[in-house]
Amino acid sequence: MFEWLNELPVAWANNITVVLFVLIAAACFAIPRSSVIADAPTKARWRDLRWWAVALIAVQLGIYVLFR
Amino acid sequence: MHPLDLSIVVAYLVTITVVGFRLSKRVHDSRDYFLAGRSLTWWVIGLSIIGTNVSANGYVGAAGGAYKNGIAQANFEWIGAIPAMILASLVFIPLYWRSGVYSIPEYLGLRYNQPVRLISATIASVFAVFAIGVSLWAIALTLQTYMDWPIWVGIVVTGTVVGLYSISGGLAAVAFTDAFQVVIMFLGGIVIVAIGISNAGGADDFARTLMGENPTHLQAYLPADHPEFPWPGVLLGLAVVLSPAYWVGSQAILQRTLGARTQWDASASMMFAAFAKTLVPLLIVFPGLLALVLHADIEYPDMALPWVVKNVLPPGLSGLMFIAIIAALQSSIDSGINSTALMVTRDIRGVLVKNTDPESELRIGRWMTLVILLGGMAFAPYIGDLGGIYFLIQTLLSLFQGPMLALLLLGAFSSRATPVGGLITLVTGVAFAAILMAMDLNMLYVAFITFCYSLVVLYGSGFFTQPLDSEALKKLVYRHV
Repeated sequence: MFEWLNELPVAWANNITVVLFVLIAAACFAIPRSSVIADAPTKARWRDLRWWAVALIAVQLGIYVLFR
Repeated sequence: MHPLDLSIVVAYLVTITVVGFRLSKRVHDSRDYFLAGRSLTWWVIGLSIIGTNVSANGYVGAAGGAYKNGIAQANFEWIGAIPAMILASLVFIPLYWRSGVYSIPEYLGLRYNQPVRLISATIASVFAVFAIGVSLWAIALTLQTYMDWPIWVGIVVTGTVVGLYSISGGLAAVAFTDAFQVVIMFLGGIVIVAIGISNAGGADDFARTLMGENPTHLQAYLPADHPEFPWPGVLLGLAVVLSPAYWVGSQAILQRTLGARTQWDASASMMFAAFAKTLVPLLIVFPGLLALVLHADIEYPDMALPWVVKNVLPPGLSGLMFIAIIAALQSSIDSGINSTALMVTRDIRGVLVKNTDPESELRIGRWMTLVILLGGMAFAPYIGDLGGIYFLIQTLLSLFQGPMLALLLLGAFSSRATPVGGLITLVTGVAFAAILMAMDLNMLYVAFITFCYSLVVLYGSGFFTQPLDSEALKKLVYRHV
């Protein structure tokens, strides 16, 4: 059923992964800041978890670009 | 075992027991016991999540997998975890938090119906008891290897230590001891990386030797026709289905986030855990690569980590690494018994026995924790003989993942998913997965096809069956307005 997939080049995997992570980073900002820090003890900028996600994704992008 | 290693092990066991036992004074009711009185901070929960996640298979099996397949093994920690953890942090944890539930089956019970809650809790609980038995067996084997303890002594000692703090202290004790255990795990991992790279002649020589003899061992993805990890299967099966099903649906993982002091702490804990998760390959994948570079004389890949601990680390540090392995296994066991006790007490007994007394939940929860631990201990000595059966149980559990993820995703994002549709999807989705499995299809592809099937059935059934009323859906469907 999935034999046709066997022909796909392995370089596509890294490219798809990079695109996927970029899309996730963009999707994070579809969530309003007010929702992300709803009951946080303070409203400091570092508590905005969308930026935590962006930092995390940047590390992942580095990994998948390095190990290709 | 060297006396220095032995003293480190004894100091660790005493510390973990005392810390856990002291936290038992905070427990006054079932909310304290199962959700730590909703008092936990984000970094404690984040470390506890990693402690729960890194299991026996993770520590020993991943090093063996890396020895065999290279850094592609780390996909379980990167693409096979990070996207799902971000989804859990920003969408599902706020949703579970707002709905006020104790467990994922309880959320499914509110979103769909009580049979869905009962089925999902029962399957998860049965698997958890087997998993606890496997972890106890793995610890007993490790103790036998390093300290010559008979298997049964290792099981009884481990069960007693874990039982003392888990039964008395509940989730708070489990979370704090997990956090302590993860710090030890990372210390052990960092030491192995530093000494290992030094022994290999530096980072450049390490990479050159590895790449020279194993050209694909530093590639994140393996070819599409690879028998174990074909890259389309890794992306479609692992990243799209199995990983999200685990990170948004595992009670053992998510229970500690429900014990956070605020919703922000709960979400931040998962994001913090994702940062730590990115570094986990240093602990569990690197030793496998190191064994390869140092030309370890081993019979099969799973011996890579024990070989590194025995041959690379000096006395004192090998004791630390020994504790790191024990800590990884203990943190999986304590989380397993606490979360399973919760599901049996509230999601199985609470549904089957009507008009239960909320006051008795703490007492019943503690007894259930003991019974589940004893069940795992009774099962543990036979794991070696039941290897094939355990693999079958794991496979059967994975049949459940596609339908489960569809229930959670559509349940969270669409009011179209209905209670009857949920039950139909769960039952027929598992049956469909079993048929596909019988056709000898790779498990990663089975998970993806079953997930797609379940999405279609659940959404389609919404046109013919009665939805929940809009008031009930308010807290159960994600809306960020």
